[in-house]
Amino acid sequence: MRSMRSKFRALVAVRALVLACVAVVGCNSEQVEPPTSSATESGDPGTSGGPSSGEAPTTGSEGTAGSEDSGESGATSGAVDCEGPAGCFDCVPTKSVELLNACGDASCEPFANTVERLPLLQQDGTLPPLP
Amino acid sequence: MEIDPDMTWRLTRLGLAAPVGVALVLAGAPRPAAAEGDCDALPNPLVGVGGSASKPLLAKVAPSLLGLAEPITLIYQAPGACFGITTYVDGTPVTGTASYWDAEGVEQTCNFPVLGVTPDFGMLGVQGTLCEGVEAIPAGIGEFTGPVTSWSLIVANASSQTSISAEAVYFIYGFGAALGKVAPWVVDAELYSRNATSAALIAIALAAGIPATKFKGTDVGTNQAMISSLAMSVNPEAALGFVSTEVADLNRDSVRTLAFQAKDQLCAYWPDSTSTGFDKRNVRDGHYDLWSPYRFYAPVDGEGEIVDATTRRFVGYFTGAVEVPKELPLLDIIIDNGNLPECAMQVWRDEEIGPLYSRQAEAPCGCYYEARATGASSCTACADDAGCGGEAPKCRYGYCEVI
Repeated sequence: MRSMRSKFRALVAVRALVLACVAVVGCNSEQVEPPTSSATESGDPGTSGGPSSGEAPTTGSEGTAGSEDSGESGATSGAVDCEGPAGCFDCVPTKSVELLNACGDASCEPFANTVERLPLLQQDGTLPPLP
Repeated sequence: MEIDPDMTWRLTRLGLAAPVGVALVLAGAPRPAAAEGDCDALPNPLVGVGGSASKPLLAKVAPSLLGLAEPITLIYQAPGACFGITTYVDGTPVTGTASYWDAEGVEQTCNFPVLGVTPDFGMLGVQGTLCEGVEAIPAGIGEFTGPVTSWSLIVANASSQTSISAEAVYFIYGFGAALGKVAPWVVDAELYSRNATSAALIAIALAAGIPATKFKGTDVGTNQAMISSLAMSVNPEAALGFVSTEVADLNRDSVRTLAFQAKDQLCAYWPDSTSTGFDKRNVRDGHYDLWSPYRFYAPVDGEGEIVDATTRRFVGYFTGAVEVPKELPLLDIIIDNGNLPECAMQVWRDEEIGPLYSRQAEAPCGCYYEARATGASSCTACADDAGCGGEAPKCRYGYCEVI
């Protein structure tokens, strides 16, 4: 358990570092490609079974915050078990937000929703009402 | 407003949709001879109305329809997506000129009768009930789902920008470019937009949380005009617009699709797995949030069947209700146009730009889609089911699929 928490903290730190990189250095010109995880489907959607709704997500592969206690089967899609590199979802996605953030090998580029980029963003990070 | 399909069709075929026209029909007056240039003069005309986003797809379908054993002349007017449903809500006939295509696919124009016609079908890139003034689909009008289109926020190729977020769109198009303060898109004169009849606007407004009627920017009228506005911008770094992705793809020599980061998403994705690809993989698997299926609207009977035989055949080709003849390579046309057949989608949604869920198509065609769109497929090729096995036992369109 202590080891899992350390892994989770490390991954959260990696995610923060990526976001900081975007904000300070301006990574817009670089394409960030989340590493492929073995829990991620290949680029062969025709032969993959495709994630079906209701299917319990499995724990991620090496490099993800998987449980070290193998006795915990049928892990839930909680962040601790399924958070992949840069915060991508590293289990079989079953919810909308998981599909949006599923780990994979597609190119992507974080857009920094920060006050620096969006000056009208409220202090708590929420959007102000429209005029 | 309830529509009487039979009366509508008699009026439509006679080109008489107004009360004066009704009187003439009842009086048994002879139908005026159609003059050259009249849409009525075309053989077996099928009249549609709707958005400009769907025009490239229809332009590719039209020549094949002329080559069918029972030819169809597809005629289409594109005043805006919502006209594809409001015509059935308020009964306003379609007037003016429309496009049709000859056997070589060259666009032509024809004239509707002065009093207009009720179209055979409407075609929208969003649900009709999202249009202003449309609280419900009128009784007697059916809704049919077509192929998927995606929506692109675009910049001129000279721009250095490569991504945008839903939150950024909220500020830019919700407040206006200058007031929104999202650099570099801070010049009001370079913020290009549409009006609330546009499916592209409605979809992007939903994704950003902006009411369609509060969407800012200069209305350029059509998808095609949006491309021109961006391409000719004197300040390309500040210029921003949006179109259907198939229109953006046709114009990659002028504009570029921005990667889009939806709400609750950690990264911005292109519709394709790379910024220069054409595989639409991110639309298929849910990473790219801005997509909608096209909807067809047409008068139906009490059983929900489209009343007009030609319209029923045409729409049925898209929905799978009618077997597609070999003279109409519809699946290839859809894929080549940059759209996605439903059978290639791995996710779906029940409301416009709403929550996604995983879904396996009943007869998946992802392998064939991949091969056609990219020139290669990692699936196993097959001639029949005997050539398949294991986890992909079913041969469809020449490739082994899971079911």
